[in-house]
Amino acid sequence: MSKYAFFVGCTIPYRVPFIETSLRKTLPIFDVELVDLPFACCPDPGGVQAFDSVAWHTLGARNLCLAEEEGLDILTACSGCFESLKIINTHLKNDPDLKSKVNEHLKDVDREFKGTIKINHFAEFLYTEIGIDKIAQKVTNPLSGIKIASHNGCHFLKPTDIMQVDNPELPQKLDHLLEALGAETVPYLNKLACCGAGTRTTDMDAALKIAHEKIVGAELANADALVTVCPTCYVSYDIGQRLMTKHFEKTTLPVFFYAELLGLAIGLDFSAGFKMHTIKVQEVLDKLTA
Amino acid sequence: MTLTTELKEEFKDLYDKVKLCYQCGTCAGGCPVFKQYSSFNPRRVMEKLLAGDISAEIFDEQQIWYCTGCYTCSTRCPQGIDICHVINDMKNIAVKIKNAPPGIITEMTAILETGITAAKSTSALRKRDKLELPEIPPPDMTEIQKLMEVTGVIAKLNALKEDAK
Amino acid sequence: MKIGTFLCNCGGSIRNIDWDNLKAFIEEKTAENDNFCVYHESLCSEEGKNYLKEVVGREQPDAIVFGGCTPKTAGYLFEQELKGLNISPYQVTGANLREHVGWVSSDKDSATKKAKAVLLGAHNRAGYQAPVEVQKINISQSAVIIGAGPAGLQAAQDLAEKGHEVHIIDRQPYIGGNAVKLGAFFPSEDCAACQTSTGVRGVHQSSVRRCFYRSGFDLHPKINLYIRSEVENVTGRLGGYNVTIKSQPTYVKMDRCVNCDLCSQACPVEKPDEMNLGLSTRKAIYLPNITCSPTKYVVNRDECPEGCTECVKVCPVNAIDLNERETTTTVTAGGIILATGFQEFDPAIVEEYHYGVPGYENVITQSELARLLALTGPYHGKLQKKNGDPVKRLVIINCVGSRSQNYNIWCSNICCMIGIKHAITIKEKNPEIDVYCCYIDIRAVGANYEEFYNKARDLGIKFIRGRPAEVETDGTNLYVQVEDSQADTMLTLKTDMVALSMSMVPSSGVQKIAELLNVNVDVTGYFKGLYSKFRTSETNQAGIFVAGTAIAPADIPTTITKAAHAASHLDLLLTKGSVEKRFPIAEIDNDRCTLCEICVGACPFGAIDVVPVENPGVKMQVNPLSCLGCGQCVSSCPAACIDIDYYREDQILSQVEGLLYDNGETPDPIIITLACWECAYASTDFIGQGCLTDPEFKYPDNVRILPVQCTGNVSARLIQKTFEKGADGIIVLGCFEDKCHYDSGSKASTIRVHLMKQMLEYSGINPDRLEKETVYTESSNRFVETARKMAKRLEELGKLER
Repeated sequence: MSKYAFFVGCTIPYRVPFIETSLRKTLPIFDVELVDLPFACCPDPGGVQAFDSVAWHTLGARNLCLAEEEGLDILTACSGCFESLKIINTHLKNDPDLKSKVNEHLKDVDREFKGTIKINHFAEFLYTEIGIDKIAQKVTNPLSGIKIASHNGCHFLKPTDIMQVDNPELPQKLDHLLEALGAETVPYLNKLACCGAGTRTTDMDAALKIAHEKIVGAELANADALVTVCPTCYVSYDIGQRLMTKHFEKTTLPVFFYAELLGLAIGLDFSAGFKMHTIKVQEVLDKLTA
Repeated sequence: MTLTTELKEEFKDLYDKVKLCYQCGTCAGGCPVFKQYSSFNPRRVMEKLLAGDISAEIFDEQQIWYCTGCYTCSTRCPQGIDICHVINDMKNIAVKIKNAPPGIITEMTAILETGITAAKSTSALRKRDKLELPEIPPPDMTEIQKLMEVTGVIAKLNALKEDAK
Repeated sequence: MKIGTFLCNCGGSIRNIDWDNLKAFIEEKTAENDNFCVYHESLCSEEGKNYLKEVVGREQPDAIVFGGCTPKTAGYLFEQELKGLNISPYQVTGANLREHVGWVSSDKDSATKKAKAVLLGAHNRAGYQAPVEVQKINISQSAVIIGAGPAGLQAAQDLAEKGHEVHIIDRQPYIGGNAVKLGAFFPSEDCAACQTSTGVRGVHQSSVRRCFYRSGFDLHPKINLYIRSEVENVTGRLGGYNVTIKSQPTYVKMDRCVNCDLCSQACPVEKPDEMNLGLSTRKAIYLPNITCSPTKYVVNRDECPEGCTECVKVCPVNAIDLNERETTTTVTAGGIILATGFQEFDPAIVEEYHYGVPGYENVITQSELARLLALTGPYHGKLQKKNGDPVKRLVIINCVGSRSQNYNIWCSNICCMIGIKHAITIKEKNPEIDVYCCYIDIRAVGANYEEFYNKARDLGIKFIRGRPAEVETDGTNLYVQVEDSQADTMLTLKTDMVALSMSMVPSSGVQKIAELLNVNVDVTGYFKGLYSKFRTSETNQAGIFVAGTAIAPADIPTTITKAAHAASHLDLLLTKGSVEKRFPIAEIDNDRCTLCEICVGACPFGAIDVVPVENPGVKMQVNPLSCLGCGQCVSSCPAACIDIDYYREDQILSQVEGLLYDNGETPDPIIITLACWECAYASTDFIGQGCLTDPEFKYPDNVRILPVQCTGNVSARLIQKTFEKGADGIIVLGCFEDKCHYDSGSKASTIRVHLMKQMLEYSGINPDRLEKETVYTESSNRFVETARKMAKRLEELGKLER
């Protein structure tokens, strides 16, 4: 059993808690123990960073300190948290001026950033640390018969020089992870497009229009579902589709978080969580059992 | 608008970061926001920085605050300009001159009060119960508030709130 | 040694010097050895010249000191007038009493004092000047040209017509290089084959232009063509390079093959045809291209089935020999031209356009588009998708990999025009095809290029000012995302095909050849010309030239011009038959040499060879023709065993000693300026002239200047010894680092001075006593400022206590 500090974030536990269920149920099956620590907001790479870059680094460094003090690497399933924590961790490790500035602030709360841990995103972690083969071995209910449009999202991949997860112009790891579950992935238009969440606080309508592009692309490719690895993207597309009806014709493309499908494929029961999706997923589940 | 000497320095730093821009439009062509909302054009933002335009308009809500922070422009810029980061720097300046959208004030206030951005609504807690999820250890709020104080967040937030009145 | 001193008052303009006093001083100081001193009001007047000749003829001095105007101008006077008088220009040492003394000093006492020091310094140095030996080196009457594209072909023909033996080498089994694949040329819209002609009107019977594939290029009696060949090794030097050429066999005898095609028809092997992007097939024995030259068949032997001899059986002229072996030839050449050309930048590296990704088969490059449009191409000129569907819309994307900090910083020069050319070709043939061209800037800078661009717009080709962000696919169509930046709008262009105008990068063989020949390569990866403004076709190696796109991306007219330029400069060398090396070069004292080879790396011209000898195994040897005498080796040598006559350490220090002669009397600290003889020294002259009209140019009289060949020659030891001799401050005055006349000398000197300042501090000398400054005439005030600043600083520091 390898232990990780589980950085659950804000969106997962209080907006889409069923995603948390899928993570807490699936990861132990791959010998991963999740440890909860009193983390605060990562903090938000959009809002807080925009407000004050040094404060963003400092608040983020405090989270890193908590994990450093426990001697644990961080595992997160939110791409926003992943981006914040990984960028801050990298910046502080490489920029001694910034590090001393931040540590000066952290002294006030008796903490010090040392730079001893690594930040993992669960999807990247599954791909590199667990491996496609091991995942495929655990699959008991292969997801055959459905076509999936995979959505990597922005912060899982970019800024590329820091994230170093996959090729941002031709990401393939998520497709491989889905294929390991027996699903078919389809190429589709706007695969690389952003979910628009970053614009939500400024202009909800513009954000919805951005998110809508993705739904159009996936539907054109006859996808049965859209799959994300970021709770924020999930919200943009699942809850977003209902809000989009203000501007566009109603669409009902089911959206999943990767860990949910992983759980399904290895035989877990997530029916309580599936009921909490805004866009009904029953049709896809029926297709799978048919 | 008059800028303090410090802000003028910050502006000069921004100019240095974008001076290689030749307005090819790669940033705009790949910008998810520009595609839907033509008033936000990252190329135009760069153009204004190049021209030394430091009017308040450049920090306007119709301009930089539309950036989603997706880093697509930074990834593709042929001149290697980290456009997304430059726009974030501009947002930092905008906050200093009290030019920020209400959403950001709400978000910062939430962090100041609860340590997180999403509200622990009753419906959320009910869902957690139903899913039998464990309670998440709450952050030490004295620490969070102390850090927000020493990094000047609270002062800026107060100034913004004062301005909004 | 008898030294004659000639003083000249430049028509009376150097009023600040008390000439009688000066003359008496030098006569007293140098009274021994029949030395003499004469004064003339203006030595370069007709009367003055006669006087000079008369005195030199009568007195027969062994060396001359000239005190008057700058030696930069006086040198010519002496060179002209001393002809036949048994004394060489190298035995004349200048004392710059005009620009360095009279015109910059305001006060007569101080000027005369400085003049004494300057004159004495020159006199000291003159005592060391011996005649310089002239070396003569014979040049072999032949040339090697690497690369048989348009540049190589032009150079080869020019040289062959001038009567030189030419050996031209290419990796491909045909001549023409990339041009063969590119189809038509712009803006003339004629075929690539229609390119050149050996003729010059009035000299040869020739039409304006000629099809060179049918020109019998390889039949020219002076041209030796090596196809499927590469340079294996090069030894020797200018005058006699020994080039070893390794040639892969074609298995078909050139002189016998009659191009009947029977062999190809009999061959059972089918392979994708490289010439046509693999979209059509060829046999294992094949003609590389129907317009190729030499028009001969070749065999790709590794594709032949075991034991198959079908082609041999059907050949009616017995031209095929499947047992032919690789051959190696060594030729001697007086000079080499590098015409290695370019290749397309790998399109897959610019990831957002998805070249080479499954589903994106219709994202192609401009050279691939050229093949699709060619009548000899895979679809016989019909523009169609890979699946055979017609192309209804094409989007061209310019600047892919060019003008970018991420990929290649340079503009690739011809892509705009190639894109326009292809667009016009398509539009003229198929007006119904919609053609878009997305660009950052259209660069149409050649003769008739703008007109060509106008023609494209007339034809309805749509130009979008914006660099596309991404090419996407929905499985059937391609989508180009681009901002139309003139309209501030986002466009999503649904299209059938996308053509990428790829950046031009150096040919893959450049690195190997650069290493073999010790030729400099630029940061861009292209061969580096000797200088950016002129001598562009020369390299750091004497006798090795570079032509065409081996030096930078260029269009055909420029390529041809550059090739002719390289050929004419090589011709100058070959026609002369021999060259004389007159000025001093580096000499290595092999007895003291520790064989560390640091000098080999320090020399920017590759002039120092490591030569095998019996004992101790190797020795360092200076090639007299490659050495330019800059002295960068001298300052790099840890054993201090290299020197350059005329700029030897003892010679320079003797002059320093003279310049410091009044050091005991004057209360002012003395600053010695070691000025590079090129831009730096010229700038000090310029300052002197400037002082006549603008007193702002004046610098203190305790600043005294002497020339060095290049600041790269100024060693740490020379700086140390100059301080030991009594200098209180030193300015090393060089040319701008990127404009150094000896490539890297000024830069090396800047680094050395920087290190030297640290060493000074360590040994208790204030590092402010040493500065490096760079100038050229238009910025010569930088020296004035540095000189004044140091003089002021030394006022505080005082004289250097020893």
